[in-house]
Amino acid sequence: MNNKDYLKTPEHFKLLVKSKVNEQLNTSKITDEKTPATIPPRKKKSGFHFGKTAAAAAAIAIIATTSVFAAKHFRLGDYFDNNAATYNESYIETIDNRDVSVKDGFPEQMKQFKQNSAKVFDEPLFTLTETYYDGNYLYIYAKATENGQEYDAITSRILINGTQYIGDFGRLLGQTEIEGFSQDEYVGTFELDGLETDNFTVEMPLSIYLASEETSVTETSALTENDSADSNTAPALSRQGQQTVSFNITASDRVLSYADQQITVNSDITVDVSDLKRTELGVRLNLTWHLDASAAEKYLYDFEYTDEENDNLSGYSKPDYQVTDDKGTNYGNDQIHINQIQSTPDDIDPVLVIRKADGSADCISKIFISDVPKNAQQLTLQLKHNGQTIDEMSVEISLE
Amino acid sequence: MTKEELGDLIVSSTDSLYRISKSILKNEADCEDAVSEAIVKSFAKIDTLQHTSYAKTWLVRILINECYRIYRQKLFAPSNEFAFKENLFDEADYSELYHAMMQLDDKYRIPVELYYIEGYKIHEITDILNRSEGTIKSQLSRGRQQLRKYLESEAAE
Repeated sequence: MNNKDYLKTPEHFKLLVKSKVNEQLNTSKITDEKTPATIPPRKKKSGFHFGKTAAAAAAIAIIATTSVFAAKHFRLGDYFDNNAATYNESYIETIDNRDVSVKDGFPEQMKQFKQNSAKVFDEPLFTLTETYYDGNYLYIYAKATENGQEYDAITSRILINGTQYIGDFGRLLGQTEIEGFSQDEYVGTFELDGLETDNFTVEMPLSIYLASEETSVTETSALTENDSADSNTAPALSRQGQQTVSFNITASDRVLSYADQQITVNSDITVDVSDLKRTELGVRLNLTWHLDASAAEKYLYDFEYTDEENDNLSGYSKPDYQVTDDKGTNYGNDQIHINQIQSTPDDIDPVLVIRKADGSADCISKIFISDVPKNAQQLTLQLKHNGQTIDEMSVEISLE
Repeated sequence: MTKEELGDLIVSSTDSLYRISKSILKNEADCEDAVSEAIVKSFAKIDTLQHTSYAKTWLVRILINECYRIYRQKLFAPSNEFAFKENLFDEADYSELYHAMMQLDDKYRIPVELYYIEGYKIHEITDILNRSEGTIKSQLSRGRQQLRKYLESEAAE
């Protein structure tokens, strides 16, 4: 494919861009002359920025009221703020680097990926200072050491008790300028679905490249990603070596895990609840509806969105959940997060529908409900399609 | 990077900015709004750009954020319910490939656009879209499959 004749830019659009650029250059010249420190004028923001405004107001309030005691500043907190993520700062753990072990090479379970390398990497390339675990997602923050400045250590998986969990860890290359992070800072995010303990040891198998080289392919993911783009379009890489970094997470005191639940809704529908965990932040769970053929035909007609529906062009609303608890709370859309880490509404399929040959179907959602009161003992989740609740697809989940 | 250099970069990237905004918003007026706002914001935030080599990626990321902001506003504004359909298929100037690209799901179209049309590398797309490398690869692969199916069905007709 090439872009030569793909889409012709209209002349009026080119003129618009030139005029906008000139307007900004002229504005900044005038502004620079008058008040050098003034930021160029910006357009009025929409209501969608309420969260950031509220956060800024809260930050000012904290600064104003705690001028004597300087609170510890967490970089992961900055990262979450930048991504408008829901988080609880008290869950951020400061890691003592004496508790972080570093060794050359990959763990034994990944010996098939081992590669002989002339260099030995048994010294830390970064200082791991903060972790955040909320019962499902693990975030890691680190900063390159002086010796590690020339390297980029990356991975797309971690090992916990021999099980692999997928995610990302690497330098914040290229995405840092807006957010106030520098290029020698690392952030990792991993989804720990199905993890049965909340005290565990993490092993990170890292591939090490020179920081100045392309980092577009991690071979640990490339080897297992059959569904990947053409490898011949990716630039050549020269891996410098491998390293495994291990550290502990202790979170069982703040994460309450429940046993899996199987609930019969009616003769046609059953529900599996797994990974049910409760923290001060809220309740997380994986929900799978099993519908027999007649229920699937009745309730899932026109359920998966077509391309047009997916574009949300005609008022179609994606499947959704209505959530209430036994204390009468009716949770708002901003408290119900489906299949996502953060409240970003793009590209999210709220309900994954798997249709089987016999006509039956499974509907799978990963749900996080925030602000669940401590005394709530039961949640009721009801599936909504096109904005309407489906009476027969309602399930009560015990939190006792 | 100076403001003049940023201005030059924006003007030289006009075609790219148009194509990217058009792949998300489709409507001409919305694209103009998104690009205008992205230009204003990029000038306002130029001091936060530490490395000139990332300027284009940075600019595209600002533009995509603006496109999604406008997309969301339209989505929740009843009076603009059908605005996204305007100009979608009634422009004779659009290439067959563009029509084919518009058949792709949103989540595949943007990575495909950035990779195959704009020539960004996978790690740059992960930065721009803030998605994982595995996700981008998978979306590229599925986007290609969808595109291939659509073009084959068009050829058969």
